Amino acid sequence: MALKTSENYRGLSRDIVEKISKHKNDPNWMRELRFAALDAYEKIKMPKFGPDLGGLDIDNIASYVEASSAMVDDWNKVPIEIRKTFDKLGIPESERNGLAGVGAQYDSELVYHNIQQAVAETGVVYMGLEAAIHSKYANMIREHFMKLVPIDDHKFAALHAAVWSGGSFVYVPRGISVEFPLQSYFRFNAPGAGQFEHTLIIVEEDADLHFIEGCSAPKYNVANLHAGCVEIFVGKNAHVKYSTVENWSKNMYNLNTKRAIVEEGGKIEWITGSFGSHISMLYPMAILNGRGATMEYTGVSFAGHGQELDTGVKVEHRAEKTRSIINAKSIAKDGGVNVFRSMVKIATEAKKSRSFTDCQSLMLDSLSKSNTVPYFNVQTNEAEVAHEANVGKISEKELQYLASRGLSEDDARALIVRGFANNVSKELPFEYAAEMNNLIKLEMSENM
Amino acid sequence: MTNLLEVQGLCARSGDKTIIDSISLNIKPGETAVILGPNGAGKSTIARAIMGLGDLHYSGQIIFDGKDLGKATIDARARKGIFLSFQSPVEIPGLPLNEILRAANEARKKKMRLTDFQLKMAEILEALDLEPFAGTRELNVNFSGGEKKKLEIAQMMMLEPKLAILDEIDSGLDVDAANKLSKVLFDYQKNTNVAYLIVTHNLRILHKLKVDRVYIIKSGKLAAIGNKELLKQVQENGFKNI
Repeated sequence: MALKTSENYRGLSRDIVEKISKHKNDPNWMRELRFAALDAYEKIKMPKFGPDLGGLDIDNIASYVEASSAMVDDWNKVPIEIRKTFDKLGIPESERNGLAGVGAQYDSELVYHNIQQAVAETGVVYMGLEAAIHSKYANMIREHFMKLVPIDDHKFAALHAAVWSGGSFVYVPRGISVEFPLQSYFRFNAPGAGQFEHTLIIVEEDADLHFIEGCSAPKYNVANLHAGCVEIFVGKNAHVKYSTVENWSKNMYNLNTKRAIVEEGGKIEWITGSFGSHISMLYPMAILNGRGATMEYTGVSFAGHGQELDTGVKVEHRAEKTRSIINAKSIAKDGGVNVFRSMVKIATEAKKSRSFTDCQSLMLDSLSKSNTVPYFNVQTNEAEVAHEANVGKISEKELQYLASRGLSEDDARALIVRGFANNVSKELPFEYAAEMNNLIKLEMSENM
Repeated sequence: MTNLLEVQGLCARSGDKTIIDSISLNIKPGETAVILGPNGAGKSTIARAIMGLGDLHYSGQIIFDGKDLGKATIDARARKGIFLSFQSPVEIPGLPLNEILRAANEARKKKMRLTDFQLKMAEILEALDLEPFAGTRELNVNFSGGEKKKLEIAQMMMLEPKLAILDEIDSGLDVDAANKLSKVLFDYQKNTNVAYLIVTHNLRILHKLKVDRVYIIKSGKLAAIGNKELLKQVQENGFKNI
């Protein structure tokens, strides 16, 4: 089965946005939102900080790749080539192994979406966002879509809003705990394409959800762009864990936006493993809107040759007794560049709030770089803010010890790096932890 | 029976300084040899030289299992069947002991099902009075000095070497724990025919073991070779008259 990358959809113009909107059968408000976003995109300048995005040529990025297969909920009806790709990635084996639901997106289109009957019966919704817009959840989506991330938030948020396609909608009603994780997998296959999926998650009061997102792409000669958007609404005393293992090809520009708003007593956990990509700019953000709301971030990024991973976290404490805990780890090898950027804002009202950041870097050679750029804006003196950062190397003693157990230097290094990233992998379900460990092994064995 | 380990004229120098000088010793499979001597005599250097560790300049010959180790790397020596229990085991944050052992088995092309591995590890930890989940914890992080030493022995028992070099294995252990460890080492040797090279300045760890040969090292040189009689002499009078 051939997926067509229509030339008509290459670049960005009113015509293209119009075509996408028509093709998607957008309701009027969505069509207007797309055009407003396009206007915003044209006005907003490129980011003034971070990596050089000069290699990104929007006019040559396909903003939409049409799949020649319709979305299905029966795995056997998914075209065999796509099935093979996903089978290699362990999907839907992982569905059989205890996931509440699985979604799979191939280029711009969702190709598969399924939720376990028992989970659906509790009122939990997990479906393609495009379909959801035309369902009974239409109003709910209209109320929440691009509300946490305004269309003019930054240039790539505007781009996303103008050409978005695919992605998932999750709704967990009040008091419901989804026992097993929901999973969504993105696979890029078309060369020179952009992927602009939108994930909208609404978790009501006292509800609980673990959502896993996996991404991967093969390598092509032309640059690809990923500018997705994730918006998460965490209700009072609700809990959402959002886990991501990203493994992009080494020419990908990964400029993704993730944001959550957390109400009183609620909690958002970001678990992130960032691998691959040529350039990543990724700063999940939490707005702690209600008293006692919490954000925890546990992330690891691995930058190898030719990669610049500019990642970090943003958190806004807007209410009393809110807490944020940030544990960031980065690994740099063969001249890779890691930048950890954090922004902690504590508003005047957010008295007795606490924020703690621990940022550790492991440098595997003297060619690589690792920078930490913390930014604090604390408007009350009744808050506690702490930041620790350190850069380390693998010691000769550790290598010799592992050698005395029979491990070659390469194996020993890979094992130590895996140990360093263990705080992330132990938060992930088994098959994702295994995938992350494999990625580390692969990155470690790759030479310049 | 041929020797498992033959060390001939081993010297170690750091710059102009001689740390050990012309040391020769040998061990057969299933035997226990002991290197005794006062602090700073160079005992640990012998242990480290056999394992190939350190940045000293070594000369002399080390033959293991009929082959000259020559410039063999540390990991190659380990895979040939040499194990060193470290005097000061390192801590590696985030890395569980079990992962090291499974990788070590893999490096030896030794296939072991996960459940068999877990069962064996559980038995070993129990025999050593260690907590059942010690293997899933980060290597040596938040363990006491004595526990770290026992974890070294646990690794030996999992990896099943032909020769185990045990460097000051009883430091940090109380009298009862040292006695118990001595018994564990005795039983393990009886079951596997492992050869021990025990480096110590304290005799209590030898309590339950059959000692085949004793080497006394003083100021980097071999001062005496003997058997249990020599051990007794040291026990009564220390190293002074040797």
